[in-house]
Formats: sequence, structure tokens, C-alpha cells
Amino acid sequence: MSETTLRDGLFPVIHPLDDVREEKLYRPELGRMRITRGMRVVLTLLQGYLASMLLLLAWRVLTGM
Amino acid sequence: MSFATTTRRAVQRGGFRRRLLHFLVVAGPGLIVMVADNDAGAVSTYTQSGAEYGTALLWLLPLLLPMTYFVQEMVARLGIVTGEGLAALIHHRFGAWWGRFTLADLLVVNFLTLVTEFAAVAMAARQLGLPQGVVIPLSAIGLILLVGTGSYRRWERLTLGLCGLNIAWFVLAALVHPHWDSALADSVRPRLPASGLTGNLMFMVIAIVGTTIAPWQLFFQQSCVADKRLRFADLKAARIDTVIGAIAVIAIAACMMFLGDALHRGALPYQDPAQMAAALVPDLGHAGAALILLLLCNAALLGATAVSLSSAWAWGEVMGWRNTLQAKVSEAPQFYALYALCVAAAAGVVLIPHAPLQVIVLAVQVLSGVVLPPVLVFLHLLVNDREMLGERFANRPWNNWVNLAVIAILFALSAVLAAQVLVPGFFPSAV
Repeated sequence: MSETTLRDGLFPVIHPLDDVREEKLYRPELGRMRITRGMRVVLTLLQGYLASMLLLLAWRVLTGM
Repeated sequence: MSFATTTRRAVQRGGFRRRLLHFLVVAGPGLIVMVADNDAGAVSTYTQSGAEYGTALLWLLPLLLPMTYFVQEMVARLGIVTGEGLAALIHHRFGAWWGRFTLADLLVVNFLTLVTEFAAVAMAARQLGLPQGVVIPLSAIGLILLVGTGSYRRWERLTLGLCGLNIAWFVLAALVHPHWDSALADSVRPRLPASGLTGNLMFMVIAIVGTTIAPWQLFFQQSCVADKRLRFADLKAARIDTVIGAIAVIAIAACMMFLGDALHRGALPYQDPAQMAAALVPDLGHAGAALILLLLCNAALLGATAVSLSSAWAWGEVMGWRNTLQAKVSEAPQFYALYALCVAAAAGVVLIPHAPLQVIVLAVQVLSGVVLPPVLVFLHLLVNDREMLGERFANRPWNNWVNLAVIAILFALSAVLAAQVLVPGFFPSAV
């Protein structure tokens, strides 16, 4: 924990930008998320929603907004 | 008292002072995103709500407080524990197609939102008798200079200063003498206005909810937290920052409703915030009316800097550009160029004579309805990504139920709003 350290009875409060960079949980090696069946259903529904909204938008533009 | 401490500071012993100092060092992103959420569109929505329905819709605001907090807490948590922005995580974890699609949507809706912010500045300038041909370019230059200092802390301090000006909304609300008893009752007891359940009312409810959670907010806070390099130990303070911001945004929204309510009580017509300011001269005096217009400008400029930054951060994350306010302009040229381009182009559109601003306002509503649900779904999947976050930082089951309820409500309202604007006849009673 880099933010607070007990040293000589003092608790230093360090601005994050002045502190040592932390190692974070995201790493590029993680790559793409493993898609479960449930997630695939959600993403398919999402594509359906987006497609229908864009079709509505196209129809509205073509018929004059 | 500065929220952004510039140097290392130490406080003897632990306890309240140390926690307070720690909070002041961490605070900023949550407060800024929330106060910037009360942008020009929000001023217009809340004051119109007050003018048309009095304080009858005040009960919506306490309901929106936890909703906005839960959504923003998720992005703050993701930003802290991953050190990445939301656009980067969608791109990396769901692939380039979803990443670019979300980014493209965000950029379009952000740009159109930006145009509406400058349109509000132009409206206020006209009412103040100032030439918009001068005010708009000056505003754009000011917005560009605000971020180009090469210091995150300087930007944060200046932006928090602009946020602080919003305290004046409380003074203005007090000056119109709201009926506190009925306002208090309306804030805790849901009821329909006297006009009943109409299409206009439905549209207004959706607009109030929609203005409270916009797509840019999610991208902005996560990128801002990542840019500030908040640490795991800062999570609690970042949550408090977000809670305070959520309370501030709701309280200021109530003040705006009270100003509109003053018109309602006087049976005066409402057109827009500038006309409202003129109509309230008998209550507030000319200085008070001018203050409303200046606060409208401030809301628009705060919204403009936050919206433009969310675009520049998100684009930079996906393109792999250096994208930090800590960099000088020469060190992150694409990041600053995109920000400046967004601001300058939006200002330019507003200066075009007879620009179709009403169509742009409608387009913002429609595209927000299209963009927000996918982003919320990705956010939900990301905060449940145990491979990346582990058990400690992933959502708990209760957290998921709350978030799913919020997402379902926003999804439904966004879809209804978009459909209502796209197909006005679809809902018979709608306007």
C-alpha cells in the first residue's frame, strides 16, 4: 500500500501524481474476455437493440425528421 | 481550501485530519463529473420541469441520487483498480468491433452535446446584450486554454473553481421564496401533477432521468480517475467524492426546479432559461437575472470541457495515443488536437446562421438512447470480470441486483425516449 506508511509517527499523505506508480489489475496479456453463453445472449440482444434503433433512425431520416 | 494538494504533505498522527487531507487530495473527479452533469441541457430540463409542473416532480430527484451514485461508483472503481479508461477496457476485453463502435457513437453524441452547450452560451450572450460572434470564440479559446496547461492539478483546480460557482444556484433559489412545506412533501411523496399523466409529463420524466446519467459521464470519470492515477487505497475517498458529487448535483437540480416553480406560481409562460431569467427580474432584480445567465454559461462551459475531455481521453485510449492532462501539448499533440477540434468545430456550428439546432437537440436525445444501454451493459460485464478484477473488486451479488435494476430502468427509458423522438405517433399521448 503506497499511500500511507507509518514512519517516525507521521502518516504522510501523498498526492497520487507524486506517488510511485502502482501495479494495476489490468494487464494486456489478459486479452479478450471469455464469453459465456449468457454473455453471448446479452451481446446478441444488444446487437438486436442497436440494429432496430439504427433502422428506426434510418427510416425517420428517410421519411423526413 | 484546495482539493488538489500540489506537494507532499504530512500530518502528525492518524485520525480525522489525516483522513480529511487524504480525501481532499483524492477528491475531484467525482465532484467534477457530477456538477458538470448539470450542463446547459440540464438547466433547461430542470427549470422547464419547475415551470410546467411546479415542485410536483421533485420526488424524482431523491430517487435519482442512488441511481447516479451506483453507476458512477462502478466506473470510479474500475478506473482505480485497472488504471484504464472505459473505452480502453471495452476495446481490449470485447474486441475492436465493439470498441470502435462504442467510441464512434460516443464521439458523435458528445459532439452534438457540445453544440448544444455552445448554443446555450449564445442564448445567454444574446440575452445579456453581448455579441455572440465574440463570446462564442472567446469561450472556445478559454476551454482550450483550460486543459492545455500541462498540469492535471491546475486543470482540476480551475474546474473545481467553476464547480464552486454553482453555490449561487442556492442563493437564487432562496430569493424566489419556494413554498418549503409543499416542496418538502413533494420531495418524499411521489405524485402526479394536476394535469395528470400526459405525453408531456412522460417526456419530462424521461428527460430528467436521461439528463442525470449521460454516456459521456461514464467515460469521463473512469478516464479522469486513471489520469489522476488514483490508488487502491484511494477507493473509499473516491466513493465519498462521488457521493458528495451526487448530492450536489441533485441539490442544485432542485434549486433549478425552484426557479422554474417561481414562474409556475406566477402563471408565467416558459420558453427557455434565458427567457426565464428575464421573467424573474421582478423577484431577483436585474443582477439576479444576469446571474442566472452567467450560471447558464458556466454550466455550458463545465459541460463542454467534460464532454470534450471524455472524447479526447476515450479516443486516445483506443488509438494508443498519450492522453494525459499531465503532458504538455507538445508531448500529447493528438490528444490536445482532438479536444481542440471538438471545441472549435462545435463553436463553429453554433456560429453558422440558421444552423438546425432543434434537430441537433433531438439527435442528442436519440443517440444518447442508442449509446447508453450498450455502455451500461459493457460496464456491468466489466465490473463482473473476475478474471481481471478478482473477488475483491468485482461486484457483489447485491451490488449486481441494484445495478441490474438501474440498467433495466435506464434501458427502458432510453429506448422509450429514442422511439418517442423517432416515431412521435408511436405513443398516442406523446408530444
